[in-house]
Amino acid sequence: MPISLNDVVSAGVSTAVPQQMPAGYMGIFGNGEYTAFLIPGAHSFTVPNGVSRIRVRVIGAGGSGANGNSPGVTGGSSSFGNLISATGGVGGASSVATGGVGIGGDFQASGGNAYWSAGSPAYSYPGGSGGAAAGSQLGDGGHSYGEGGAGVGGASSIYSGYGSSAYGMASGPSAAPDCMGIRGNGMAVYPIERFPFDFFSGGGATRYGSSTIGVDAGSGAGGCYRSNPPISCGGHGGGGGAGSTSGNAGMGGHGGGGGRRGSGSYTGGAGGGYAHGIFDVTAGQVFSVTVGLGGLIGVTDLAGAGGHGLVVVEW
Amino acid sequence: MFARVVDNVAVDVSVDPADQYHPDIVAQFESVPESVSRGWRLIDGVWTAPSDSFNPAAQPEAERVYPVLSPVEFKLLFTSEERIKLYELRNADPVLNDFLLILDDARLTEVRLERPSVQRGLDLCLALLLTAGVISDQTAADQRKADILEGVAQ
Repeated sequence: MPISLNDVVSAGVSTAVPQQMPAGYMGIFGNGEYTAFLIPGAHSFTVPNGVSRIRVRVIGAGGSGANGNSPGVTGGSSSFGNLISATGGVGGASSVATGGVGIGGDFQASGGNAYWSAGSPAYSYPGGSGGAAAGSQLGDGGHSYGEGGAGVGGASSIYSGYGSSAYGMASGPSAAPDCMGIRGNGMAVYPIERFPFDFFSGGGATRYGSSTIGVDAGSGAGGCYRSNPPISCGGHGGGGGAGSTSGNAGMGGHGGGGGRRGSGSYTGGAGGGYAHGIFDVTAGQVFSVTVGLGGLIGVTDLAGAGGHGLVVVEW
Repeated sequence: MFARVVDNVAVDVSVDPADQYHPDIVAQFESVPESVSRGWRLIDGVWTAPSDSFNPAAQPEAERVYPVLSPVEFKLLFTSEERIKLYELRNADPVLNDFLLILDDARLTEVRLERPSVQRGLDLCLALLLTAGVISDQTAADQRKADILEGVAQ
């Protein structure tokens, strides 16, 4: 939400400015230093000198969407040593793909599920299956009931081809709003994130015919359905938009499920799980770090790939 | 070697899962042959490597090496008919016009095909040419994109 000018200055008297942080902001931890592991695979982290506590967040990778009735691929798990882990979302499956889970630490959330339906419940889009969202510090990820991608914080995609966001679900004629309350801004970014999952500020993606403008979602939000190229990808944590048989489906952002391509009774990819926690450590201590690989079927496949996992360490 | 198997696919593979994962996840790992990698599938009791069309370990698109072209060389990747139609359509599409203005800018010395902005511009061009009927169908558009990204001149 924007800050009102009335809150800033009143009759020449200095007034404390009420700062409103974007959704999911957890504040600076320790010295404000951090390392974000973005690349899938095995890494290591050595506790710096003088550091005795760290805050860790882990996000499992998203599953890839199905290609017609060919199933997607489940995303890999992310982990910080044996302290805290998050599993990946299941790849596009018949009827439902289940989100990953978070394990360990102080807070856990599940990735959203991706559903296929014939139109029941009423808010679901018949056959549509965008990618579901990752779990996050806002809670469980949104489920996918529509062709658009779901958003973090439980913002499911529903009877709409547009993307949902951390600020709400897409409505019939438009995408979900961003942190400024503006719909249809897609990738517009106002605050500067230090790393993915620092907070979520973006809006859901909106279709603009064949134009390339605004088809990717902002952080935490889902992509939109595309019947023609280009694809519409989810922002960090968001699910990718579904694609038609003649197009490609969108990829999920970190931890987000990919969209399903084409028709059939299979789903988009589910979102990865999430967990965070604060741990006592010793300087020089070495931890293994694993970043889950997002589900993808192959370089020639047109279904949406799942977003890779993520591990963030702050001290 | 150990793997966490979901729907008969090795989703996580590790030599020492106890060091890498939380104990609750470690409990889900099972012993597999040394040759098994992520993405391998258990079919009728036999671990099988993914095929080319089902290969999670395939080279990501981002690692592909694209040619670097001069602006003129890039324009020559389109046919004369395609270029003429795009010039015709630019006045009706501000995004296309913006893309062509950048290509026409004398300060531009090279076009890097791996850049998302270039690929988005290419996608737009092909979508408009498809709508205008210069490109016959989506399959032909996909092939044109593949040719252009390979630097195949017309």
